[in-house]
Amino acid sequence: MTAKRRSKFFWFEGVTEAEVVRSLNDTRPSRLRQQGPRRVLVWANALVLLAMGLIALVAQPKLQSYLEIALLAVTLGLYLTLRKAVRHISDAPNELLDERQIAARDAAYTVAYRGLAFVVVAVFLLHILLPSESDTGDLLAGRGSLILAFVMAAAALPAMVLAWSLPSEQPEA
Amino acid sequence: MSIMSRQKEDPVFNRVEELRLAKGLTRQQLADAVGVHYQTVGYLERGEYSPSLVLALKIAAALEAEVPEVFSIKPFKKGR
Repeated sequence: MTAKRRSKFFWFEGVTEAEVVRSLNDTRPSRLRQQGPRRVLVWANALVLLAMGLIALVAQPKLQSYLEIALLAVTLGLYLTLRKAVRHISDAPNELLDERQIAARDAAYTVAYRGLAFVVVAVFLLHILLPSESDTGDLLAGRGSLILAFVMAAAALPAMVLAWSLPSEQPEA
Repeated sequence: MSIMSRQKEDPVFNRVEELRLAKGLTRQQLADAVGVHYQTVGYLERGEYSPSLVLALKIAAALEAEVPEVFSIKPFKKGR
């Protein structure tokens, strides 16, 4: 009897060994392997994150909540698609990647970290500039979407940088 | 060049594709032999990625050649 090997889950990276290996070995043609469609995904995610940050401008709390949930679902979907588009290189641990992939991932993290500084400034400016209706002194009242947008941006930036910069893949020859 | 290039200013020229085809290997077969992804072999062949010394040694061994026959910091002469 052969025991089915369990796929290791990398908690820190948030990926399973099986999904990374499957993604890396996937030779089926896909538009996600082309730089153009990947860049469209990056733009889409950036716009959705910006929209999430601006939800605080919506005056009606109920509409604000619906928009928050809808945009969160969209950005989550885009984030998972971006991870697939870069074959999970942005989130995979060293042991599952070769030296070029590790170099590409690390370079993407460097750019993403610098980009995150601009995101922090943007979040800070939005926090200051957006009108606040809280009388309770709660600094974060009505700012849930802004925080969610920041968290999603921090999570997705490395995959976005990789998706933007990786050239189109060539078929195996 | 993409961000994974090690040294844009110091390109490393190679004859990986020529020697691989001469041996009748696919990219996947060479990649399996040296323990990298098949796309990495493609990046190497197109000059979009310069390998580490260890990988260069492994590739040369897999192609049954010496490292200077496969990699050079000067362009290879045609017909070599």
